[in-house]
Amino acid sequence: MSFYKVAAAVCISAALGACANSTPTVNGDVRYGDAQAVETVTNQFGSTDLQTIAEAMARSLAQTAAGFKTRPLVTIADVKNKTDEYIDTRSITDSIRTQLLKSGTMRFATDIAGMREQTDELARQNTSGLYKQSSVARTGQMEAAKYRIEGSITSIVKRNEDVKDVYYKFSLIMTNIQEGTIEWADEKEIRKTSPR
Amino acid sequence: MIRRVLLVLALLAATLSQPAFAQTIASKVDYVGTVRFLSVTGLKAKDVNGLLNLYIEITNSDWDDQEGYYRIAWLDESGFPVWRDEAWKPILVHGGQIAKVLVNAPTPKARDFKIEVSADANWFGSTGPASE
Repeated sequence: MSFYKVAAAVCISAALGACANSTPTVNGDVRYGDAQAVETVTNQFGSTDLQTIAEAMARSLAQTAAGFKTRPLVTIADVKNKTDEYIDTRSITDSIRTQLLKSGTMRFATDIAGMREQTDELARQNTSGLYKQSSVARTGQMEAAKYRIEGSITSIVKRNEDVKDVYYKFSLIMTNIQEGTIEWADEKEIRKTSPR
Repeated sequence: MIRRVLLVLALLAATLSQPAFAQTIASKVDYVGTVRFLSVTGLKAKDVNGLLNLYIEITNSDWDDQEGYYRIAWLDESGFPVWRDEAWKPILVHGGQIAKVLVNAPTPKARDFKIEVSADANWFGSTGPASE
């Protein structure tokens, strides 16, 4: 009896082995692509536009910040979407911030979007009575940003019977918060044309 | 005499601290496929506030507009990558035009670079000149 069981197990294993792939994948119709490739599926705002804008702005900011005596402490405010499309502008500013932090040319203070979590954590550490006093982050010690980065994205869309043309302009400025002066500004333009 | 020695040492130090780009254009460019119309014909590099800046000229040798793509691999002195893969950037070069591209390194750690250039019209694999 045990001989039959072993034989059956061997047969099943062999059958499964014959069906198995030589690559570590589960067969299906899904393919992974190159996240850095130029995306031209439609002429709406896409991944290549996001990557190109974030890279251009981060590089320009890094070049300016590299000329400062000390690494500037900045905060990122809103980038207004003035186009007709839905564009997650937060994703663009997140990419810019990530690249600048990785480059080591700028420091970032908690922005308005992250302030709630920051103050909640401070309050929890200071008021819950759960933590050793020596390890508690003290209130009133947060560093204030010296510069604020904000901007906008606009578009001009034109179409005739043959062609649709989309022009994007992403503008960013960096303001000295105390003095109210604009210390840096840059733009990135993108044109996309497709047949209709 | 001491002044001369110091001057020579200073010049030597300045030369050694230069980014490793005093090489031929060909050694700094990787083409995807076989080039037909778009190629890098000019390349300058300089250090600005500790960041490597590149000025690249891409020439279209055809009379028609050509679409190409480029990106830079940023490397340290030993040729090790210091930044993740950049996204490919599309570039339209009009017929007979020399497109000028100015880019700066993302980090002061970048001391060397390699430019990757691709184009729709390039020959790839079996679409090479022999099969035309």
